[in-house]
Amino acid sequence: MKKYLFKISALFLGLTLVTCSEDYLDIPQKSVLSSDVYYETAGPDEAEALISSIYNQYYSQIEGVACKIFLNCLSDDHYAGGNSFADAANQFQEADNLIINSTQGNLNTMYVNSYKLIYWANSIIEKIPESSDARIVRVKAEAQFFRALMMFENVRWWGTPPFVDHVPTTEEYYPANGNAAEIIAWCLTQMQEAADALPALSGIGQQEAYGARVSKHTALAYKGKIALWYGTKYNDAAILAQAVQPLNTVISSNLYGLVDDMFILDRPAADFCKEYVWEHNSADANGYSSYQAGIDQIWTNWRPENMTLPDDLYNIGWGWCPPTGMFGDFLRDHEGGIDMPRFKSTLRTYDQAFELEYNNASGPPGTVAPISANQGYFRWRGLLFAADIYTDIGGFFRRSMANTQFMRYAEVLLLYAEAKFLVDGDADGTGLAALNLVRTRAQLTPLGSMTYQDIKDERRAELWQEGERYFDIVRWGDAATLQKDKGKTWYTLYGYIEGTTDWDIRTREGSGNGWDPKYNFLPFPYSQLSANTNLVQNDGW
Amino acid sequence: MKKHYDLWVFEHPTLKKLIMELKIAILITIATVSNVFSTPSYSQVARVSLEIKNGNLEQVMDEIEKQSEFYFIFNQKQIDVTREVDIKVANKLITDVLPELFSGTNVRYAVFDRKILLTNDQKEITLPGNLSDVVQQQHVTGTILDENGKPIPGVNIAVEGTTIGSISDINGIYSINISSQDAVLIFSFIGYNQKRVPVAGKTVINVSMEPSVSSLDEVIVIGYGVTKKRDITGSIASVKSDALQNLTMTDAAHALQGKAAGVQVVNSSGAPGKGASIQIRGYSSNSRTEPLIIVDGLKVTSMDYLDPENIESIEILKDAASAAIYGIEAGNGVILVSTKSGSSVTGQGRFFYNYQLTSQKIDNLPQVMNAAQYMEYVVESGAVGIEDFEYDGVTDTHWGDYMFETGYIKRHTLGFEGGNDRGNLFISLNYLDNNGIITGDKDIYKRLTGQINADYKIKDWMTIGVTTSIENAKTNTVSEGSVPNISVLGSIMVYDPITPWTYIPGQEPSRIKTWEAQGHLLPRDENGNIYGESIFSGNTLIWHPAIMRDRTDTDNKNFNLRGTGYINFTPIGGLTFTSRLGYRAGYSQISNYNYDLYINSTANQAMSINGRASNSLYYQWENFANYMINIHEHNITAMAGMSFQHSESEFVYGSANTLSNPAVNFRYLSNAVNSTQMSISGQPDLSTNMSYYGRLGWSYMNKYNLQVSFRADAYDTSKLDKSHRWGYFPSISGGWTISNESFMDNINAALGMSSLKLRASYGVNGNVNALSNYQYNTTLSTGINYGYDFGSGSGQITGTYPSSRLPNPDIVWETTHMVDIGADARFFRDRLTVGVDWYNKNTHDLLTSTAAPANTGASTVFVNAGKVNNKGLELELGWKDKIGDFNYSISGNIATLKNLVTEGTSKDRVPGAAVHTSGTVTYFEEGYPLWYLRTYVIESINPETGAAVYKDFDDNGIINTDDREMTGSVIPDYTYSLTVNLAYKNFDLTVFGTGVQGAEKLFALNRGDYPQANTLLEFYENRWTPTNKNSKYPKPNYFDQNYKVSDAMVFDASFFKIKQIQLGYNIPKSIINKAKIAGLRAYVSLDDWFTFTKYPGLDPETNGLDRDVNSLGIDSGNYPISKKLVFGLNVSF
Repeated sequence: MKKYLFKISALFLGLTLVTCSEDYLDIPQKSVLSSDVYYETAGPDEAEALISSIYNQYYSQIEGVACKIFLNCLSDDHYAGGNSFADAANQFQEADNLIINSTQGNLNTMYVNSYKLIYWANSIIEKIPESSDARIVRVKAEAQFFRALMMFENVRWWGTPPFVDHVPTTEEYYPANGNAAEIIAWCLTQMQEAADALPALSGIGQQEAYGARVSKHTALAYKGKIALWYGTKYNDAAILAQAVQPLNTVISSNLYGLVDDMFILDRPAADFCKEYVWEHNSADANGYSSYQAGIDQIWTNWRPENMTLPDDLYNIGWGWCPPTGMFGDFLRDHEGGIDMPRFKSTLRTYDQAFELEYNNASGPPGTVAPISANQGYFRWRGLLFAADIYTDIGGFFRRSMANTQFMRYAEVLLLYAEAKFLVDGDADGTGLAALNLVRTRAQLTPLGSMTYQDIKDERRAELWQEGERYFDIVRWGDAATLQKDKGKTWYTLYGYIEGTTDWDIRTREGSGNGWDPKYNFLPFPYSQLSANTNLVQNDGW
Repeated sequence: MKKHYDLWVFEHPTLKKLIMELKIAILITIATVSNVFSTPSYSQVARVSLEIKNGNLEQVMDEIEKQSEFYFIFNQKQIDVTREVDIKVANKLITDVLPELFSGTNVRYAVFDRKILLTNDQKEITLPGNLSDVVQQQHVTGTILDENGKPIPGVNIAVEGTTIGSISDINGIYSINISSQDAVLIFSFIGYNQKRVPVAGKTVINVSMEPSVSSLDEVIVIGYGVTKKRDITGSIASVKSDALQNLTMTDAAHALQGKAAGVQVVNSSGAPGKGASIQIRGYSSNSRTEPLIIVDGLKVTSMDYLDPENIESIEILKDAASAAIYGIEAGNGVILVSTKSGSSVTGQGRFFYNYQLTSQKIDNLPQVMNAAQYMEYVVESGAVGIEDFEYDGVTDTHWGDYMFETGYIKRHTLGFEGGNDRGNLFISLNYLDNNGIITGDKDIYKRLTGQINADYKIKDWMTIGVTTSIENAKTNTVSEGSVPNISVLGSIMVYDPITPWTYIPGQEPSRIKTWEAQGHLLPRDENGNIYGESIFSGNTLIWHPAIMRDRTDTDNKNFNLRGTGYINFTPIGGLTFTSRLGYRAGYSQISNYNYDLYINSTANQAMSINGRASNSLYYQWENFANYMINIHEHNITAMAGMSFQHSESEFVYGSANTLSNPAVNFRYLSNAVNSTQMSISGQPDLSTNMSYYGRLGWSYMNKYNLQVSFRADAYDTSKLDKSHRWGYFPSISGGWTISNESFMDNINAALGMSSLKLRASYGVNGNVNALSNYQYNTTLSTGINYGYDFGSGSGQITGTYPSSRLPNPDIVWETTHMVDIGADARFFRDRLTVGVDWYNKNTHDLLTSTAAPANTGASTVFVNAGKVNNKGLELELGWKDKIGDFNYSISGNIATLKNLVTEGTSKDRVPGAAVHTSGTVTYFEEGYPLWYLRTYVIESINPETGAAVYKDFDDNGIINTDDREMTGSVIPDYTYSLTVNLAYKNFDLTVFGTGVQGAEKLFALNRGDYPQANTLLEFYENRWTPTNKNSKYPKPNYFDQNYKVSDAMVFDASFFKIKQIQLGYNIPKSIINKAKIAGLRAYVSLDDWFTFTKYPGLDPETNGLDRDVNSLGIDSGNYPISKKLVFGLNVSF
């Protein structure tokens, strides 16, 4: 009996030891697509799904509110703001005081996301087989546009970012710093190739039919912008000269124009207007608006803890990125008064705030508490107007229906004016004409001739809060002068001095030390220096 | 004067016949004598001193009887009492005296309690029962067998409450006289549990003895088998049920604290229902480093569900060789838990009921600044001017007074256990209701646990059994450190004291009135008064503590069924084949309701509701065979088997922010109204793994032990690429019991050493905790949230995008290699036990998720990089003795730990956790302990300005992130604990303490964006002022962002806690027996009552582990461990 049992049990044991097949271990990953198959077999729909993600991420990450506020804070025209000097969100105060270090979060956000989009774009270009399908050709051209734009932005931020123009192999994971000249040359070629492949708008004002995506003239506008930036920053006349032609093409296409009423800019009324050379569509009709509209305006809206909000504005805001007094004064003087349309569409003074409408519930107009980082000027662009809000999205932090513009025709005109001025002294006067278009719209008298300072001032007045100012003053070499006292004095508005209408502005010593030449470029993010030890930090950081 | 009893009975014919019939006989050999005498009895205690020269035997016997309660029984015809004797002994046991007294004679002797029988009969010594009433005996006979069914000679049999006794013969057969049908027989034998059997009219009582657990023959569970303690070659700590009794800890992990050297129980939180993390021999990986936990053969993810009262033993496999049988999951050690199987000493079942009532309070509320101090400090810091406070002149709120209460824990355990030689049954039901120390009912843990264990020997060659755990739990938690600073606990510490708890109605500040007028819902207390709102609340997300507590209603329910079913075949002697199915099935439901409330523009909350239902099923099937054979003096054991594990889970989540009706009764997802912010999600998950394993052991003459084991493991494709998925984990270990060598006899005798064993082992283990799924390849994801609407009529296009990880198909398993050298010794007749171990543990190829160089387009990459070394020395000491009725034991352990990253995961230091808005403070870097604290260092304080002067490590005149150094590590240099047990008659006292030394923590409640926050009084009292220029801390300066992440925030977090002082009283049997109660014990205990530490924060013991291993050393305000007053009652029937 025992022997019998032994045999059975030995058999049983033997069987069970081998019953387990390794096939049980093969479990495919859920909710993912195979990279290889997807690209290789991509049709137009798949290609558009891929480029959609790039548009989505460009809007939410690269042109996201945090990066924009960061860049604005670095300039002489903006304070960090927020609730107080101690409001430490995103280290914006450090940016305002020019005391950032390489751990500043936006540096990493920008670095990581720009290369992410480059990788996505490279994958589209390399992995989707060549096709004559117009939609695929267009997507590939858009991918080319994006990777060139991202490499340009990287050079603008860091000067010598690693140059990535293809999907890297394992050996290329840890590249050294790139060469700015080489990268910019490549960017210009890429932009031109994208422009050659991309369609143009069918006519002026036809942006909506075209779609909120880049066009032939978007690529050309950026090509001009890249050439101008590099040419001025590096004193490279040859590259600078390349700026004129593409910008001229955009202007002479007659597909774009300036809107008459500046007050509609950045409001839903300007969606798909003729002035927007490229915009992000804030989709409002299909229930997915929360993915396509950010809370950018909540960041910059007036802060009700500090200031009674007029009826027109939504009653929540964080007060980031207010204008500096220096900018307020500049704009007042440049426009010739605080009642000029460009002034009023950009800023309001403390007195002008009292002219707005207030209902009883929100209390009397004026300060509720002392307002840090304020010299009596309040922003009027980038606010969250109650009328602009998506009503189908709940919560306290509401989203605007307005499209976000990335490139306005006004900027194209000013880029052209500057390029012409620098390249041939605006020999044919088209540069001045372009500048005067912008001035005329602002109800300023056209200039008979222009100086470099005229161009610089016009840019400053026109492009406030659009993230360009810091790069401008650096490339012009003006930052050292303009920013020499940045962050040294802090201003707080306590409303009117009692019994008068004089602003009660008190000062205190700030934590900034003024301009430091190391801000010629931004520091590479600390985490990336750890991840890629071949990357060398910029001077002074 | 006592009198020798002459054994006249031998001459009495009737009695002689009776005695013959009774066959009360044992063979006494010199060998068995020692066994018999070793049973705890009078003979083991009483000592005599004799000095008799040229005397005779009778004088010696007289003297012995004079000095002790012994008396001699003999037949004068057989024993020559006039024999000349010379003897000199000092303070010796009778068992030592008798051999000397009778050496060289033909006299044989036996000791029965106080009776010493002398005879010259070379075959038998017989005992005539109770000498006083020897006449009217009945008798009972039977056979006594051991656990293997073999007869045990020399077992003491006694009739309870009498002096009647007997001893089993060489065939295990005994016979005994009894005087009453109600008699109860007590069987005792060294190394075996005493057994109590009522006669109840039976004339034949066969008994099977069970080995006791208090010797080297103690059975130790080792994974797919058991071994004896004497055969262990690795480092295995064993905690038995007696050490787990009457604990107030409500889960098994906490119960392990301080029980074994090198086993650190890390409490991330003291909140009700929060489990502890166990760290065995340091921190070996940059991922989670918790051990593998196996309960009755079932792999579980946590042992929190186990009530300590249901546990028979916990074995901790500390060294890699012991753990290697669990291969890939064993890299952080293995914990084997055995639940109680049910047993019976008497053959009768036993009911038991335990009750515990605990009141708990906060132990230490850190001292923070009062209103006056606060305002002074903040103004000095430059953050505000005095006018900014808008201070009402009276408010001085001490938030802790409002937020802490006395909480109660109620605990009931009801159970049954019983068994016989064929089967055992254990059933218990535990109910726990823990309401924590935060006011209100937001910190609650309620748990109902059932344990049903049964086994039955169906055939002599087949046993089946089941173990089952049922758990039904409900948890409510308050937020703590896990969300940096934005928590109830954080808020209690930092909310400013000039804000009132609530406003007097009508006297709210104007800003509050304005917001109310604007239609915002400002949170109120139960009386409808608006909660105070800091004038500075706009700066921060920190809210009033009560609002933090009440902003969300959270319901967290869990039901789990865990268990095993097994079948053991024993087809031939020594071979056992086991097939075992383990399973876990459960569901959990989390429901959240977030109240609509407004504090300011940044801090507010819209109403929303969400719920998540998840269910999971896990099963494992294991088949293995154990074989044991003895060939001469060689003992060989072999084990081989396989395991297959399957784990699946699925969840459904939904959220909404509009409900069809605002009533409480409508707070369910069913009432969600369609809005764009509704969301749903859900996805099944499946993973599998399989293993083959084997072990071979050899021992020779109880002197030499050698063991090798091997395991091969493979995980499914979610972990590693197919080509690398198998991992191989070998081990070898050996032991040498020197004390069993004959050359040691003299040394043993000299040292009173009963055992000395040297051990050495080496093994390789793995770690799967570090690896997220599918990291080796790249894929594409799709999602509407990554999509785009071109606006040209396309509608929202769903986006497709590459994963953010850099694929690395070359990654392999992380492995841990450990050498362990140890020794165990017992001295002074086992009263002193000593265990010492040294280990050196190297973890290679750390599976690390690092920031991928972003230029690749990815954000993370998994690499095999880095090496971590842990080494340490562990010492365990125990002393156990009794003096008369006074029993006492002292045991202690201490373990040193040196943790070092010997190779970084990247060329530079890897940043870990950050202090919110102030930067990274923990790093993973070669040459440093794991996730050490790296901060700025205050070199000096400028005596004129009070400014901190930071050390400029690179001497470049700039203080930046490069100017930081290691200022601490939360990994302690050593851990230790001490337990004292005292028992006198019916009283018992236990004192247990544990501590860590050489650990530092960073106090991280001072966030940079909230310079108006309150902080520790310590920073106020020791700050620089014009009158205190030699200060410990600089002048408060909120511009100084480095200060918050400087060494000023790093504190010594060493502590010693007296975890328990318990006094128990066993109600005397004479009282309770009348109520048919078998045992009744009452006790009171002070738990976590005394803490010795310099740490100024909430609790030196809690930490940030619940966030991530890299946050371990960061104190963001965790729920502290409460101090408890416990009353308990144990009853058994």
